[in-house]
Amino acid sequence: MRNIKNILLLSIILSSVNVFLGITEFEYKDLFTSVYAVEKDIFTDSITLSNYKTNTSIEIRKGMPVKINKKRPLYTFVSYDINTSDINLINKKGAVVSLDLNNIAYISIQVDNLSKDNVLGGLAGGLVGAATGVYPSALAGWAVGMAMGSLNNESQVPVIACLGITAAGTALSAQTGYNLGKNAGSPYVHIPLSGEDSWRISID
Amino acid sequence: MNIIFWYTVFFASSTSYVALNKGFNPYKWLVVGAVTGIVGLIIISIEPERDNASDNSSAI
Repeated sequence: MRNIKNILLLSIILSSVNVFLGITEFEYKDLFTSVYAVEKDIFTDSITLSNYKTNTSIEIRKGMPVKINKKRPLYTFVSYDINTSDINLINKKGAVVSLDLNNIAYISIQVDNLSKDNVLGGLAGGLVGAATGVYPSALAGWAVGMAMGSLNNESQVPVIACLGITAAGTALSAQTGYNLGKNAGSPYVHIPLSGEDSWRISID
Repeated sequence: MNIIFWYTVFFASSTSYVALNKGFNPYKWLVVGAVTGIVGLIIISIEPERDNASDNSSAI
């Protein structure tokens, strides 16, 4: 009988404790002060890629255009997350893309961004663009002018429209040619981030 | 689910303990306490103590 009494008492105590824990959702770890690690995203808006063999380093700053793994889509560099090794980029549609640098084989940057703009190339491209665009624009302007002139022979509006369309078309072509020419002399440099000759990332 | 189990254990053992102190069969009251919960505990609490002379194993 004495044993049964002890067993019942133990059972009462054990069940009481567990009922208390169940009701209050108390956990033993609550008895101790919780220490939380500081989990804060640390972003930097520039990274430096260094090649220790050639003692070369290139800085990628916020707003610089970059390509990933030698592929065509162009991104704009925004920031680098130090904790997760993610780089945050913006694609052409304006969406933010996060990529783990450990999964990137190549990052390509335009040499032009390291030096001054290729103005001469731009001017040459602009001239070529203007020369190419002036004839189709003039043709389109003439067609519109003729159409308007057939309605009213004495008006100056068809002439102005013809000249306007020609000028606008030529300017547009020149602008396109300038942009193409500016980038023509500045190819992308592919920086390996994996393999033997990989470049190392450092943060300023 | 876990808390229901411990409630059952608590009322069964409490009822059985009170029954044992009052001279009733603890095994039977253990089952009564487990099935009826607080009702069994109240019943055994208001139950008068049994005389030792009238105690027998078949009595509840």
